[in-house]
Amino acid sequence: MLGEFNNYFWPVLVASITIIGIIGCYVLLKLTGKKGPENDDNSTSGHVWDGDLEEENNPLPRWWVGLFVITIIWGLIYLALYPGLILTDGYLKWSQLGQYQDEVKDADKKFAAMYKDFGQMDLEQFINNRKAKKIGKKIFLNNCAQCHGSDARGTTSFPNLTDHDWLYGGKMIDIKSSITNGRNGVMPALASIGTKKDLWDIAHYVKSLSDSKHHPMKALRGKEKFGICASCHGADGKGNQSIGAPNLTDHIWLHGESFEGIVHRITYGINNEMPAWNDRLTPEQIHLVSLYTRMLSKDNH
Amino acid sequence: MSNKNKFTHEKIETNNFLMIVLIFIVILFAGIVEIIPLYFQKNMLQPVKGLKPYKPLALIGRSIYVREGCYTCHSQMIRPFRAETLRYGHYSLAGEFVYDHPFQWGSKRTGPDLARVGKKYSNNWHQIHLTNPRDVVPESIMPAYPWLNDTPASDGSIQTKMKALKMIGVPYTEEEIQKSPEALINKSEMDALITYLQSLGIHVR
Amino acid sequence: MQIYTDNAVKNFSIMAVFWAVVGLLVGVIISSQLIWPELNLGLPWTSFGRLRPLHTNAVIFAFGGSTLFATSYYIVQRTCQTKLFAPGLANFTFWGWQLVILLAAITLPLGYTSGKEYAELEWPIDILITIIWVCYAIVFFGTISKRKVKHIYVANWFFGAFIIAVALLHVVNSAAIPAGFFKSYSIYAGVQDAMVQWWYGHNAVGFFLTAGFLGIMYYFVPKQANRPVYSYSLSIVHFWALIFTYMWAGPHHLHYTALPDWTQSLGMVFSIILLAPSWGGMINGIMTLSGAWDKLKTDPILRFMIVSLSFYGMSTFEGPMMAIKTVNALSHYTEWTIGHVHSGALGWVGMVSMGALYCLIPKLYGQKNMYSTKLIEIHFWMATIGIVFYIAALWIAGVMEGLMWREIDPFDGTLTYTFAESVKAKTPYYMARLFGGLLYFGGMLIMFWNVIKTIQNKKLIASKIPEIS
Repeated sequence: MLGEFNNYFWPVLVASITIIGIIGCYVLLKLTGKKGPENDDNSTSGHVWDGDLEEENNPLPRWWVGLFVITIIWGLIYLALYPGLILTDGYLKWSQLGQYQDEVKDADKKFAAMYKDFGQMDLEQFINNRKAKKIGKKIFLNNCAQCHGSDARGTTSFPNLTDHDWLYGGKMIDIKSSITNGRNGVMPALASIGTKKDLWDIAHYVKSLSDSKHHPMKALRGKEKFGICASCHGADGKGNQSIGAPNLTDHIWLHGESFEGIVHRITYGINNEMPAWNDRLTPEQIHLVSLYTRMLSKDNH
Repeated sequence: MSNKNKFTHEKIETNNFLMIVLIFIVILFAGIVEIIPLYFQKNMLQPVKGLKPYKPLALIGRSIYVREGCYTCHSQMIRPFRAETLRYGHYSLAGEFVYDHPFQWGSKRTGPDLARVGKKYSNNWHQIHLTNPRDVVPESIMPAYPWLNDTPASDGSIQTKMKALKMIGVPYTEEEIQKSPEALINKSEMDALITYLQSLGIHVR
Repeated sequence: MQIYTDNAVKNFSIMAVFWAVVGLLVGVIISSQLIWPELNLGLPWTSFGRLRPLHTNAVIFAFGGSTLFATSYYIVQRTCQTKLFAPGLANFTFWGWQLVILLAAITLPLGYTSGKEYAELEWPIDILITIIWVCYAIVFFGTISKRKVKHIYVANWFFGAFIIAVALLHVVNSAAIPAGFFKSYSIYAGVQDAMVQWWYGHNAVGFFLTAGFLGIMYYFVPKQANRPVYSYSLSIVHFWALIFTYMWAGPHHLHYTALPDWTQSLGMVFSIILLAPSWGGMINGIMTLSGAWDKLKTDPILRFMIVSLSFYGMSTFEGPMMAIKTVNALSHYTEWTIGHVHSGALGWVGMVSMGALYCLIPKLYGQKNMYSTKLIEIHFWMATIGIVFYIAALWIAGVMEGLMWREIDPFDGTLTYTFAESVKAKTPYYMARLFGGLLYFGGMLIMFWNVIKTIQNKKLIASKIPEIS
């Protein structure tokens, strides 16, 4: 521990003032405790203030002295056992990081083998293993639910994981990749491709793809301008899972279905980001929560 | 009374000046022992690898974090317990806070710890959450901060702030201070706060 | 004829009652916001993070501070049997302190804060506080210097230690570099800043809220009970031991943080050793009252004092327990801490202040008693029941959430509860806490009314200094 200090000055100072201070409490107790009712005939200290304020000469209550002495002795013992004086790490060689490492080691011993097994599971095994399912669910609730909701149904801008619409693919390998490395779907700002009216026309065309309410004439005009959109969303508007471009022909509107919103996103673009979890979750945990996610979607046939 | 004793309190309690001096000396020790050595213990002063002083936008974000009193409900200090590292990530290290004037470890978790909230959520999530927390976390009791969206991040104070921090040891270069206002152009307080939050705890995993 | 100078005492007493009402009201509002987060009405100035510092500053420095100024100016004159030294300066401390509070009430909701708990006020206000505090010390120690009795009374030891320690703590902890008129940065960073802050924060409790109020106790308890202080030697030991050990206890606010192990251990050891010195004050108070149990039946003021001493004993026991690392691992960051603080703040500080002010105010305005003893009685019960609800609710909520946060499934090693679940589980306890808080606040409103009626009946009589025999 001294290694963190350049020399002995501060460690010695800390240790000596601390010890002297604690012993000092005891000395104070002894010195003052001696006084008291030596003069039995005079039960007060003899000082008077404000007409009638006096103080009695009662001795220190013995239980209180005992309590004080016990805490002093306890303090000294504690400092002998635990790090406190810098000069010594304490007899027990305890440290808070040591305690943490022990805790982690214990947990590893208990659970590492199980997680290793679970890390190899396929979906069928997972669905039939209650314990694995419980783990998957809890990892989901503690890490994923803030965005995707505790029921995994998502909300505006955060995908519903229980349907069959996958931005980046719904195979295990895709889901694991999404969780491990995160995703960043970038739709560029396209204000420059036309006038405001043109952008509205495109929005109507987008709506028409899913047969949602739209203006047919505007949609027809918008179709002509859709070319640049098609490079990501495909000529048929069915999207592209390799870059996370959503399918525009279904009724799922991740960021909302209002015309204003669609025009806004065409105009200014949008970043749809999912953070990477590889440094927060272990590969086994990612595997389990991926299986859990996969299962939610399978359940919903 | 006890004048036959070697020790007597009489002298002290009848002398105003002596009383003042003794009180002062007695209360001085703890600070000397507990505070000053922390300036001589190496691992208390070295920044962790990769840690840089807050960039201008993040620095403004930090001012907003302090202004809104976020520390009254959120800690920024992960303790070395497995239950805590499972929930929040690697326990916090002294070297992560060397540029934090003032520290924002907090003392209460009405909301979760934020020491490693950086890059945990998307910017979009933070924006929605800060505008109305219950839109994404139904159980939340956090106040909504919609006005951050409408307030510009720059109030012309960034260079003063960076210069003040430089005076107390934060290693900003003259060039960084010079250029700092550019980083705030067209940014809202919301952007600044999110930038700050996204910078928290990302150098230790 | 020599008379005491009680102008500042009167002013501070009335403002103490007023600021208590304000501070508690803000407390009630923010505790409601924890149940109904929309209660800030969409305004920045009323959001929790800005009002919470206002609440703590209002109750500690406005209510607590005004009470301490009032009682210390009153007591130091009576126990030195002389007039205040420099009464003009005392009046200056009154107006200065009210200005500080007013500035706090404006700047904190506006978000001007240094971001350090219980020391949020920005640097220009900090400087003003320092000036006022120096004047306070001059008046107080000046009065002691010209005392007519040989011995300095024990209450004044505590007031003296409180004034000196708060000066030291305030100056060291508030050291900051300004960046504009309403923004500054603490000159300390990270770990060092944390240590300085909790050295300050813990001793704001130790000296502002303990030593100072022990000074009040040492005067009003023997006075009201008409009994001598129980043990002179106990006063001596517990005084010096208390002011020495209290200063060391700060690191227990930083257990298991990035603060080095050795500093944490020192904080813990001294927190435990602090138990006996803290209890010394309780013993001296309760044993002083013990010859006057019969008076408890008829005198609600004495009841305030005995209950306050009980809460003092309870929270100074709970404190060292919570400073034990194993306990702290559970209690830290939870509502338990808030419950603990309020058992000290509402129970000890609040009740002893109310007792002292009920004692003081009629005397200052030439009355034998307060306007209504019945109302004091009602206040007493509302306050006591309120505290019990408050601390019981938060104790349960705190232990519960602490357990929920740490619970790991024994079969699979995962976290059992999400954070959001722990938030949700606390709602009923937040309700119970709010109920307790409302009762306590209601009691304070009754006191406010009682004080106004008492003052309306005032007879202007000067209070004479007794001759020295």
